[in-house]
Amino acid sequence: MNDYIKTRIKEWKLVFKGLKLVHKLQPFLILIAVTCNIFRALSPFISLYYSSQIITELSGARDWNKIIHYTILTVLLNFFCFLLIQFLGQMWDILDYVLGHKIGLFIADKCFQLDYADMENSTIRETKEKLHDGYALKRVVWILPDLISNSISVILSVSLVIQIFISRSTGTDPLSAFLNSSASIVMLCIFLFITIFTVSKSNEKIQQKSYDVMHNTRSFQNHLGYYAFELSIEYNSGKDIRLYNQAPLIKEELHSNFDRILDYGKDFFHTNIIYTFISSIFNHSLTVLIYLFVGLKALTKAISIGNIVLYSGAVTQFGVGFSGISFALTQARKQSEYLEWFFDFVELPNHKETGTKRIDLEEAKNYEIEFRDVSFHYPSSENYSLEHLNIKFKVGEKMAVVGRNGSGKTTFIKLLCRLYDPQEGEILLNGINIKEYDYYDYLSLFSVVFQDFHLFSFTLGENVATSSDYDEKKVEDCTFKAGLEQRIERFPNGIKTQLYNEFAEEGVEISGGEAQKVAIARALYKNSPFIILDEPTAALDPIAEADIYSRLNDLIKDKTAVYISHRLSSCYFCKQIAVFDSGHLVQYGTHKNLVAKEDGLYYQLWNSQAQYYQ
Amino acid sequence: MESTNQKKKPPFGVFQNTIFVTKLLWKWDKALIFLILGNIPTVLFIPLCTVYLPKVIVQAIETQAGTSYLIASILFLGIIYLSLNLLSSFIKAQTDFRLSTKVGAHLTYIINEKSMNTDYENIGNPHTQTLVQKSLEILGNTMDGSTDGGLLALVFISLSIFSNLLGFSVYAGILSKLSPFVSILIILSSLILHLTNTKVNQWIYKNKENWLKLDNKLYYLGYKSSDFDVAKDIRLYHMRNWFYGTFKKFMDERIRWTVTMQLLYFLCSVVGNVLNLLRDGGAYAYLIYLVFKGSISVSDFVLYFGIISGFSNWCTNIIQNLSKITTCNYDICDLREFLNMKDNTNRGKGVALPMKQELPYKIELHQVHYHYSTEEKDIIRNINLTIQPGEKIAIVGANGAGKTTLVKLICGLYSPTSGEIKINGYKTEEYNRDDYFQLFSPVFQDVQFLPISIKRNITLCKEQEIDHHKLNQCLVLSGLDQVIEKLPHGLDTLLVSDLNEEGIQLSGGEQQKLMLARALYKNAPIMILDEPTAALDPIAENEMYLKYHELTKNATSIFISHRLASTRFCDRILFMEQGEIVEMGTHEELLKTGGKYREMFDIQAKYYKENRGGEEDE
Repeated sequence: MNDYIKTRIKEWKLVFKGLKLVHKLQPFLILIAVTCNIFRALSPFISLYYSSQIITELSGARDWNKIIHYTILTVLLNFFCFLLIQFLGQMWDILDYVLGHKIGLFIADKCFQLDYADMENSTIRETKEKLHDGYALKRVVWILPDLISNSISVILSVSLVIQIFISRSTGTDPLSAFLNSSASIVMLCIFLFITIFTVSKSNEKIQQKSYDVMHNTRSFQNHLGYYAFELSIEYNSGKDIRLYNQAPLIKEELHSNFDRILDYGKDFFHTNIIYTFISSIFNHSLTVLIYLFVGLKALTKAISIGNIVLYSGAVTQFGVGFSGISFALTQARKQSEYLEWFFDFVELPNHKETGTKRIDLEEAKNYEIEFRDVSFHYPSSENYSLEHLNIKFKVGEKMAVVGRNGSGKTTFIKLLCRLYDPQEGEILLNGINIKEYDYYDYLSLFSVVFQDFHLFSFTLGENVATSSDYDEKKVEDCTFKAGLEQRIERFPNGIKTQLYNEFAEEGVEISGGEAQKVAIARALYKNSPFIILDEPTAALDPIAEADIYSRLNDLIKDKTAVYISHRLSSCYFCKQIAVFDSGHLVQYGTHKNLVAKEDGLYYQLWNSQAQYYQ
Repeated sequence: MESTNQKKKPPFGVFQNTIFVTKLLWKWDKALIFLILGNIPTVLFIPLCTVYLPKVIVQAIETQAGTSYLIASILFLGIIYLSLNLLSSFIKAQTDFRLSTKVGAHLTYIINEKSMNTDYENIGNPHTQTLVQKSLEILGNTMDGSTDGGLLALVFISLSIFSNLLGFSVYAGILSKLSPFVSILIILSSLILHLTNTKVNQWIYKNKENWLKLDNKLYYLGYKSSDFDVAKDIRLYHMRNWFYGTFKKFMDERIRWTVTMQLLYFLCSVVGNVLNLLRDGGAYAYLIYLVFKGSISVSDFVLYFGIISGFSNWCTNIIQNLSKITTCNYDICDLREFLNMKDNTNRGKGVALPMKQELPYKIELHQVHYHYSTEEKDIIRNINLTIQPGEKIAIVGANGAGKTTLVKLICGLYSPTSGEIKINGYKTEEYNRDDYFQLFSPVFQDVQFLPISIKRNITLCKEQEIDHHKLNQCLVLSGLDQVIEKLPHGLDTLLVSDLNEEGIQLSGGEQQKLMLARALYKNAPIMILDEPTAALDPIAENEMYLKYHELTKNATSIFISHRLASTRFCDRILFMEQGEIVEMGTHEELLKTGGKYREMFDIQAKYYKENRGGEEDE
């Protein structure tokens, strides 16, 4: 029992925390929602009250003036009440819509700041997936107004219904005696409470089952989604599906996933139907019972004819309000779970932002970077990707990093750019651990073209400058330097041309090689003292490749450049070559020195390519 | 109404489409049809019960009926009311269950069957993509149990109109005792409301494009900013402000549209409210007048007042459903257009594939041209080529020269716009398409693996059908065995880590090895390799070259590469430029000719050679 209360308290704490955040993101929304719902709760009682008054008059005194008075009041009050509800409702819709985007922005902002290592962490990724764009936070706005309005309905209807109990039947027959006795009231109350209990328990059971089923079928649903909504309809995968005759296999997988979903669906159906029946039987029996009670009360002249309408209407409202409260409560419970994930995610610490030392880019001419006994493994793995790495290089030097697939080259770059922090050892910039520098200042030292770089569906200019307001001359200059001059000439709007036609018909599709050139232009625009290129020419043909390398050599004269490439001809431009092998730096030196050592890895790498060009 | 101006006449009428959907349902889930029909009485009688219950009580009091009569009539109505409600919730639960499982599954099967089976060229067509998206939207709505989208929407709406019409007639019958004018006035007021709504909807329909575009952009930004794959770039180029600013700009624009739209909706509701005011006011006045005149009793007053508001509900429902039915009909038309899409390739009986001993194959291309259906410019021009059985061909050329398109033509993924391709003397279209596909073992540049084990990704068959001996050979040949060794679950490791918690993400080089292993396992007579070494390190690349003859043993092979070292192992090299073959010959011949191939080779060789020179200096 204690645990029960504790979890309830925790749920409501989360709900209120959610509401607080909503209020911060979108002021007035909650206020408008609550006001709107209060009027929604009141409006049925207006009609009920006045129409019962009219009926009482009609069946009794028939005072003409009173009837006109009541009629005008009910019609006009209804009119204004609905108008107000609709006005507030539209405002609510608008603000709710805006809130949706603001939540999206809020989550995006968290993603921008999140530690990169955390982003690759699969548990955090999963939590992020479960946020569903912060839908729960949007839902939480509905809980409070729902709860308030439905409570009002229940309180008003109960206070009306109580009058039935107070009113006394006038007859002397056993029926009147029974209706007047406390036994009848107690019986009705007991039935009422049983109903309340059963209905809310049933709802809870159904919710719980639905949640369980959703949880258990998530993996099947995801597989289905991948097969049905991605793989089988996509252009790229279409080639393999046809030429490797994958369709039967995919169909089989679809079938097996659907079969398992069907089992769970049956399971849910059984629970759902049993509890829906139970709650429906109690709920509707209660309604009928109260009708009966009201009818008998009226028959024994305890209440007037007009009040029959009022009380039976109140009963209906009680039902509506009551199931509304129970729904809001289950919602609170359901959403609090999502909210917990939400807050878990947005409250993740940003570990990297602890350094305070500023870096003045103007002075960043004489930097020296040193890896001192650095060891690192990815959080998801126990095997070290880099072990006891010691390396030192200065601004203005060109370095090539070579090695076999999986030797730790890219990991080295990721550590250098502080996407990860090493578990052992330290990385020093001018003798000071890089953790002590302001994170964003430190990042500004590097222009990187990753192997899996990304461009966005905006204009070429924006993509190069990574900003919507940019120096056009500089963008033009950088794109030309990257070898895009001829391509841009054919663009409809020069550097203002939209890239990709995802959502603009006038957008231009560019090839993988061209995209690589844009990414290089982006690195040039950033103009950092360090330029890092991870396989910058993998998608280019030999002519374009040679062109890029000779340009780069001119472009980054006074900068530090780090190349990673499987095309060893690129080493030709580099002063120093670092050869990695299974997480270790095995050779370091100039091309001439390294290629002379015939038992070294570099010799082997170089020759496996060079032999064909002799 | 609004749609007829914008869209052409739908190819199928509402009736035809309803029949189409019903036929599918009959095949997939007969019970569901009866369930849906069974729902009609609940729609009709539940509201009627709630109107009659208070009336019965008032009447019993008025007429001084006995206690037992009162109890009996309340219980009678009450039990009907309760059982109808139970029936309704049973049908709802059953329908949702069946839609999300049985019907959803069948619909998924036919949509996917079509998209996987139709000609590859169809899939690339933008119009087809729209149809596919539409079909998937219908699928999603069906599985969610939505009543105004999805496969069954037409059926639901038609039946809803039907039951609303029933309700409408019953209520009109009750009201006709009062006066026929009441019904007519209510119908009129519903029509006025409908007209205002139509106007607003027309405006929305016309302007929708504006905010749908913005929605797409906003969605894109939201998606990208929290996409883990983009995170590196976002951090190092500090794109936060850019994204944030752009997002805010689009959002503000979008909100302006929302406000305008909501204002229009509010206008509609004002009109609706005024009409309600008039209706209620009129009804009160008229009914009170009748009570005073003595033509109706107070219990009738209660009944009629309920009936009047119920009647206007029926009217509104009917009108709303009628306008919904047009859009739903378009949806089904799109689905049918997709499912009926014609294939141009030979899907019937074709020439038999040659016997095993006749392997490998001869390929002939005669004046082959090709351009995409959406573009006019030829991307393959006048290709004449004969590839002898067992010949090893290399295709080289700059980016965009048409190398990949050429092999897609040979594989039968594309059909030439003019000219012909022959395999062993028979034209492509003489073979059955699926038989024809069996002839090729391709490795393309882009891949998407299935979320199943590595083993099954290579063999693409059932677990028990795997030829383990052959599998092991392929693993060794492709070099994948070294990768597998390091994996804790070995060959049973699942791929696609997004879907499988224990799944792994292979690196670029590992992916290429896996694709090669898959091609080898298929062991088809024609092998096609499109840059299979781009992500491999120099040693792995070299290993592959050394094994090249073993890899392509017994096969005719076509190798596309930017690394000109690879061409040595091929019998003939084709140099392509702008869709044409401009040079052809062996490596030595082409070097001697001194043409474009020579030029490209020299560029690539330059640094390897110059450095060798450097070495000699030492």
